[in-house]
Amino acid sequence: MSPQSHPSFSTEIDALVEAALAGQLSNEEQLRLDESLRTSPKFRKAYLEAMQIHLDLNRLSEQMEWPGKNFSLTPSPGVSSFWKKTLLAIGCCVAVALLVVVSQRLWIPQRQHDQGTGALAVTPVENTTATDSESIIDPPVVADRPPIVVDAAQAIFFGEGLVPTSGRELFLKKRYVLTQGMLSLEFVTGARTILKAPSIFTVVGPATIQMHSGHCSVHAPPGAEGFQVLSPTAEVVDLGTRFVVNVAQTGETELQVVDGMASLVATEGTPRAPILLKEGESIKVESGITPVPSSKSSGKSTYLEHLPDRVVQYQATQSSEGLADELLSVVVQRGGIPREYSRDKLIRSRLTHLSCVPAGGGLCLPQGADLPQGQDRHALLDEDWSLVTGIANPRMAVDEEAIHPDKAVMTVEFSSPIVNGPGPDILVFDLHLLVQSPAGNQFRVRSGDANGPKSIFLINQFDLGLNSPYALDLTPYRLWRNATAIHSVEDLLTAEFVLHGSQVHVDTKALVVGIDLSDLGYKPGESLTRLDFLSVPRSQDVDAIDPVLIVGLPELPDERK
Amino acid sequence: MTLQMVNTTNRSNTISVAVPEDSLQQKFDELLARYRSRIVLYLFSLVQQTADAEDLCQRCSLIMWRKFPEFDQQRSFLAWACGIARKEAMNYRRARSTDRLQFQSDIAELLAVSLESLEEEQEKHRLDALKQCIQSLPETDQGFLQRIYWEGAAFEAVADEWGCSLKTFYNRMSLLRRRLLRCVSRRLNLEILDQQR
Repeated sequence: MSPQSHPSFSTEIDALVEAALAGQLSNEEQLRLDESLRTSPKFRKAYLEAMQIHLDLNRLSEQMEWPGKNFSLTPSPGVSSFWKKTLLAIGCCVAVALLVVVSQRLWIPQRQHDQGTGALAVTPVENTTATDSESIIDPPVVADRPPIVVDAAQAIFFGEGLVPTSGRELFLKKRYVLTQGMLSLEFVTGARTILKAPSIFTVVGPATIQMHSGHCSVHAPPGAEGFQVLSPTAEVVDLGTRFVVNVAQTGETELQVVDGMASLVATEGTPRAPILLKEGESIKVESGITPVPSSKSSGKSTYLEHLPDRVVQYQATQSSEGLADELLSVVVQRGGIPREYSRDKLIRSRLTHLSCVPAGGGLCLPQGADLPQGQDRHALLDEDWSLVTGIANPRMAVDEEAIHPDKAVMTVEFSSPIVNGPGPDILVFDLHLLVQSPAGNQFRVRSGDANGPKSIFLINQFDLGLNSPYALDLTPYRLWRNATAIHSVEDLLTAEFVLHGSQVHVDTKALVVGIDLSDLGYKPGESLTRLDFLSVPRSQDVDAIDPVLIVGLPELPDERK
Repeated sequence: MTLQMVNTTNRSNTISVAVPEDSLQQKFDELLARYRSRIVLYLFSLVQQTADAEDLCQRCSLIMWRKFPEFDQQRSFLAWACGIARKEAMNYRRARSTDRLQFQSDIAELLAVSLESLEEEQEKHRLDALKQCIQSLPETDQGFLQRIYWEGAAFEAVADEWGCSLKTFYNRMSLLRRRLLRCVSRRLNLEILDQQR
């Protein structure tokens, strides 16, 4: 990879372009920007495009009042009336588009060998019959541009050097194997697909995806009708709105229409007429069986409206080397909506119990920092926003763990009750070595409240794991190991610690996972004050966590109002 | 009616023909209207000041009109206009005593080439699409745009309000700008689709 194609270089130049637009470019920065412009046509184009958007925003501001809602820069977690209106408007548009589509003549892509055979193998859906030569809608005529990744949740492509991230373009005609997580793609027509692992797919064109196997949910808003999903045994054409296609590894294809209409043509065996499916209907194409649509009562839809609720990304202060230090804000998807929380909106927690075996755990501190004494040790986890200060390896002794496998190794108490809302309610930031498990170290959690449910929930995958580009590289830290066993917070405050190893920087990232109180047995609206952390038995050969920040999210307002 | 001598090109020679000044004016007006926003963009990319780019464009328009009779209409008007704009921008930056850097003429020429490769869209359509795209942004991003472009706040001030470093804010604005660019491009594509149906 050339230096100029490295992502960090691109980010640096992007920042220089913004500095130019802000009128804050130093002479030295101007020279660096000039050099990039001189050597890279790609940056020249990106530079001009950034300037164009800047000028257009200036022109728009001269021509009209602010077209959006008036928002405070301190984010509100609730759904604004703007979004409600927008969703209502989209709903109306979808309904109108559907009426238009139904009233038009029909189109289904008919292959050469189907011509002239004509016989209908199945009974088409009532009032929506199509003959071989009729068409419902033309596939979109668009530039041959690939789709872009608009969202990704722990997604990994087999054999790819990089994980798919927002804004990245996929290649046309390339076969992708999604081995983990979920991926949301947006096509140039505006159609969106959600792919769920394990899936194998190829983007055939700007409005066509071929599913070799796996799950593909499609939302084609007005203007994107005609989006096609090809499978080994069927061709599905969207006629507006939402459907899902599941393709088995053996090629069997299932289509479920959630909203609007879609058509399906079986491509194996006897040539078939297109089958039109309406909202709530589904169909399976299996070898040797005549496909027949079934009604909505036949099964639960597997359609995915959005990626799962999770921590999407966080922002932190940066050192001069560009390494993350203190948390600034975090974006969490709750109830399908990404919500940004500045750190002052987060609910702090305080350590109330801790176990660490001698020389097995300790404290994380910035490199070069002195060991704090007494109550100042509390601040490492409870009071600062640093992502490199906290507790290392909370864990019981082997014999104690054998006798009490479900005894808490650490407990925190939140400054105010955490209410169970949609999606994550509590966030755990963990300092993680790059040489450890990419998914993050496993741990278990349980309510620490006397009257709370006692379900134990295993965390085996962080929302932002090592492979996520949104898990930030941390400033250098050092581990101080406890010389004696720690059985309580009082022990932590008085214990002796020894600096572990030499002052050599080991690369680390801050991973994050969101905990949904529903997973701990809480019902919506119920609240938790204390959270127990339980280790994973040593027999499973996993490293213990190094929590550097544990915070709760504020309650969401009732969005049904 | 007055006549102007205009250069035009046949296969081997450049010859001068007389054309009515009114039609020349009309032709010039059409070309300028079509390319004005791109000329301003080009000037802005060179001087990085919006007001200066607009002023320079006014000045360039007069020069272009004076030289238009010499313009070979089989050439790219934009490339020709950029040549004039480049010289004016160079003079402008030389004249500014506060400008500590030398004008990089090779970069200016390269930018003019890149300018030709950008999609050509009518400004009105672009602004309509941009307006809709702004409305689809998350609240925080809308807040940034409102503060900077509608309220005239400095980037630094908004970064302070948001509680992040200026560098972090630049990165955020860069992502926001790309998102708007993609959205505008997609909406304009949809318009083209609608027109084709």
